[in-house]
Amino acid sequence: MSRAAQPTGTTGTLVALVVAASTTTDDAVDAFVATLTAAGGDVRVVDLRPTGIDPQARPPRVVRAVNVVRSGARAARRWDADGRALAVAARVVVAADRPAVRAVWATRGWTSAALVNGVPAGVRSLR
Amino acid sequence: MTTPPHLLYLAWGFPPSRAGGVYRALATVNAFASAGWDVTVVTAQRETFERFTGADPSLEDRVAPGVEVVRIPFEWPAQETDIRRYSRLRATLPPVWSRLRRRRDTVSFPEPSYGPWRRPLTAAAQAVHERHPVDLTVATANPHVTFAAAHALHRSSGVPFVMDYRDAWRLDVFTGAVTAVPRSRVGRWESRLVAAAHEVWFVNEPLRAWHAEQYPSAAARMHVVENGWDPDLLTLPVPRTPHEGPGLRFAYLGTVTPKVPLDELLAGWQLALERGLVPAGSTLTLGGHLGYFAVPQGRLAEALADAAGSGVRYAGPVAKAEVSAFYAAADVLVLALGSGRYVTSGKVYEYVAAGRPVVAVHDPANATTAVLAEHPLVARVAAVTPDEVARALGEGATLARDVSPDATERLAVLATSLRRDRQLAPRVEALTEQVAR
Repeated sequence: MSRAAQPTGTTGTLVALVVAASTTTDDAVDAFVATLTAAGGDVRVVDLRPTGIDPQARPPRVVRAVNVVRSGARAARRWDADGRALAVAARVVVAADRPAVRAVWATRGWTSAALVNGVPAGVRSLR
Repeated sequence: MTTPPHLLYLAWGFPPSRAGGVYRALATVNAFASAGWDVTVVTAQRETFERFTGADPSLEDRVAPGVEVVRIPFEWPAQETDIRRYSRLRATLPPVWSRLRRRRDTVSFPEPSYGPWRRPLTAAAQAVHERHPVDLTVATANPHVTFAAAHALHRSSGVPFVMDYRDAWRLDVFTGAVTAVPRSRVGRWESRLVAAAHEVWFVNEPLRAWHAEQYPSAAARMHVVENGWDPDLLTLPVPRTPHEGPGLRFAYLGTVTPKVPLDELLAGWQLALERGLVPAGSTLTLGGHLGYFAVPQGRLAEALADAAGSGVRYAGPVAKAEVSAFYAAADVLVLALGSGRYVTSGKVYEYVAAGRPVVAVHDPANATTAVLAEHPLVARVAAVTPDEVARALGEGATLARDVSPDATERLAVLATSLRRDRQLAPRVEALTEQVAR
C-alpha cells in the first residue's frame, strides 16, 4: 500500500513521510516533500491513505473526530513490508496528518528513528 | 542614596522567543530599567521557545544589562511533537485525550494549555518578592495566567499590579463577538482582576473603550499604551537601494496569516497591472512567515506561486536584522490586514518609520486606520475588494512619484511620535512617581 520510496535524488538524511488522511491531497504531499527536502531531507513517502474517498468531503465535526480515530487505526494496520523497511532505515519518521500519528506511533517498537508529529517538527528535527 | 524601585515583570513569551508580542515585552522591561528600576522578569524556559515557537537567541542581547531573568518550566503537552512521548490514549483516541487534557488544563485557571502554569508562576513571583521586595508587578497577556499570578502577589503582599493586554480575553478582536459572558469563569476572573489592578493597559482605543464599558468602575485606571517601532531594530532615515529596470517596487512585510486578505490583494494587483494603474514592470514582494508556523502554509504558498508571473515574489521570512534592508528596497509599502475594529497591526508603526507611501488594504474601521490618520502618503481602500485594491495601488504609485519635502518632514515627525519608547514613557514616568511617594 505504500507509495513508498520515490527517491528525491538528494543525499540528505533519510526521512519517511507518512500520510494517512483521505483529505491530504497529492498537492499537499508534494508541498510537504518539497519543504522537507529543502531542509536537507532525502524524503520518501509512505502513503497509507484509504482509496475511494472524496478528499473534498467535509463531514460534521463529530464525524470527523470519529474518522480520525478510525482512519488512524486502519492506517496503523496498513503498513506493508516496504513501508516498514523504510521506517526502520529512516532517521526521521514524520506524521504528515492526524491519522498518520497513530500509524507512526505504531512503529515505535521496531524503529529507532525520531518519530515526529507534523512537517514543521520534521523540519526542526533535520536542523 | 535611595534604593531603586523593583519591578516584577511576568510574561510567558520573552526573548529568545520570536513571537510578535515579545517586542512589546522587551521594550517594557527596558523602559523601566532605563528609568532606574531594578527589573526581574519571570518567564518560561528557553527550551519552551526553542521547541515550540521558534527562538531568536540574538534577542536576548537586547535585554537591558542588569535585568534579572528567572526562567521556570512550562509544560505544553498539546504542542508535544515527539510521538514517542505520546500515551496510548493520545495516540489511539486523540479527541478524547484532547478533551481530557483541556479539562485538566483549566482546573486551576480557565485558560487551556496555560492554566497549569498558574501555580509555578505564582510561586516564582512570591519567591522573587521574598528575596527582593517588589514595588510593582506588570503582567502581560496573553496568556492571561500571568494576571492571576500578579493578583496573587497583590493579595498576599499588597504589591500593586498592571495588566497589559496585547489582545483581549473575552472579545474576538476580528469579529467583535464576545467569547465569554460575564457570568462565565473567564468573566468572573477578569472582573476580579480588573477590580484589583492598579492600571490596565490596552494597545488601542477601541479595546480600551470596550473594556471601559464592561468595567466602568475601572475606566479611570485604563490606559492606551500603543505599540510602536523599535529604534534599535530600524535605522532612520531608511535609505533607498538603487533600482534598475522599470516600474515601482511595492512590498508587504509581516506574517501572512489566513486573516490577511491575500486573495483580494493578489487579484487587485493583477487588475492594477492590466489597467495600467501601476507602471509596467512593477513588482510586489511579500516578506514574512506564511501562516503561524515556520513552515509555509500550503494554500498561501500556492496563491503566491500562481501570481509569480505577475511580478509577485515571496521573499520568505525576514530576520529582524534585515528589516531595514527590506524596506530600503521598497518604493511603496502595502499594509494588508484582517478586518475588525479592534485589530491593531504591529507592523504599521514600522511602515510609518520607513517613510514610504502606504497602500492600506484593510477594513477602514480597523484600529490601524487611526495610526495612519496623520500620514501624508496613504492610499486607502473603501472596501477590501479587488477593484478597490487596484485603485488604491494606482493611487500609491502616484504618491510615490512625487513625494514633497513637506510630506517627508511631516512623516518624520509622525515617525518620531510613534517610537515604542514614546508610547511607554508616560506610564513609566507616572508609575515611577507613584512608587516614589
